[in-house]
Amino acid sequence: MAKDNKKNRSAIIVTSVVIALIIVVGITSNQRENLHFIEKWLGNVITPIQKSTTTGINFVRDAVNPVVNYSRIKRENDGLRSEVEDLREQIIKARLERDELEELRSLSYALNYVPKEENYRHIAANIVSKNPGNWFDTFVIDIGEENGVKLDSVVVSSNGLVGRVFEVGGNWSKVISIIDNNSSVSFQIMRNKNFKGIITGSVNYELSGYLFDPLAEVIVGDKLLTSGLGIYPSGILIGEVIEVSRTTDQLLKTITVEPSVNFKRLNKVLVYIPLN
Amino acid sequence: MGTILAWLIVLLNFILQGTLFQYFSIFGVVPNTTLVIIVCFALFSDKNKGAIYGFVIGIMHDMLYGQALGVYALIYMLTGYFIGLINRKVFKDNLIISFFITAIATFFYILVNITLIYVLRHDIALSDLPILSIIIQVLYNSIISIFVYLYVFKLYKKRILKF
Repeated sequence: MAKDNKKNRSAIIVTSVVIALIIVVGITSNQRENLHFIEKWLGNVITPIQKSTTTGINFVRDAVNPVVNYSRIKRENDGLRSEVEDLREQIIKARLERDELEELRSLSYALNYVPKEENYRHIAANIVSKNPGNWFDTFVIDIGEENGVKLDSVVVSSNGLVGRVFEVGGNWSKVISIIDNNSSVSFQIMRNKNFKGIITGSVNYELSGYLFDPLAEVIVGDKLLTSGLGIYPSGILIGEVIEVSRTTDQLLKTITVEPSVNFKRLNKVLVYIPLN
Repeated sequence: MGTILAWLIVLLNFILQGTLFQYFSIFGVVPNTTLVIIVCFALFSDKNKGAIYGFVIGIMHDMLYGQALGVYALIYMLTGYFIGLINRKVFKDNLIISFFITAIATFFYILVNITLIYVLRHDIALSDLPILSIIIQVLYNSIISIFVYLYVFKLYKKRILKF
């Protein structure tokens, strides 16, 4: 009898904890303004340890990588060399355009045109650790409240849009990347900025989305930029269209996009912090 | 002493899983060593301890990586509890047992994750499910669990590790 009671007791405890957890999941499933101090504390303790681990790993990787991947690096080098040639030509063109722009700017100043202010300040951050769960794409960076990071600050890398800050701790923050299935970004097509739409992440490292205008012409290879609607400022590169499809049962044009950022090899990001 | 070592392993795994183990990914699939450790520990402890291990590791995961608090605590706690419940009925000497139990635990883990994605927001279609990734996750975890199980078994027999 006593044994039976004991057996039941642990079952009851587990059941009540399960119910409590389900309620907690329900409450916290939306984005929260502030973290509980225990959460912040855990991150403040764990993140520095993980940071030093990551630094060590990156050091070893940078040392070993050139030896192991010699042929690939050589190939890459050749590719880069021809790209440099192309870019040099483009620089000359850009320089000419810049001179023209400067002239126009001075003209607009003369005409008392009010320039648009830059509302962001940016800080570089290191990625400390990534979500090991395989189903969600979040990661932790090494700056937080102490550095002025705010909720929904936009995170970019040198190649394009990475994601947004989801939760902020003391010296760390949690970033949700654009390929996570809980993230959606409004975009415009670089070639023709009138064509806009929305892309969302999915469970298999892909971005997919649709265009608002079913007649919009979009082709494979089109580059996508953020449109400026929502929290992301406009003009950040998102990726390239790799597939355009139109199913019969829906009137929208759906596209599959390859992000311009390589999320697997990412370890440094830039955080745009809104000034007010 | 043995219990402290067990918790140290848990903590070390938590630190390394987000950092070092990211480099051991196959087709983008990172091994879920947390799940493997919960399975192996729970096989040698009782259901209460299995549930506690699962809960603590899960809540840590939720705090640092999760979008909703409590999801992984739920998955890992139930995994630890149920394995702790059946562990007297299984042969400890058989290596295949850890393989199978990890496979089942990984299936359960994937199922809860898919449900969560569905409930949280995203309208996920069955055809969208990454079948290849699911298969790799199950196999990868199960194969790793054989090695982890071997070591845990050895340390447990020598009474270095206690739960």
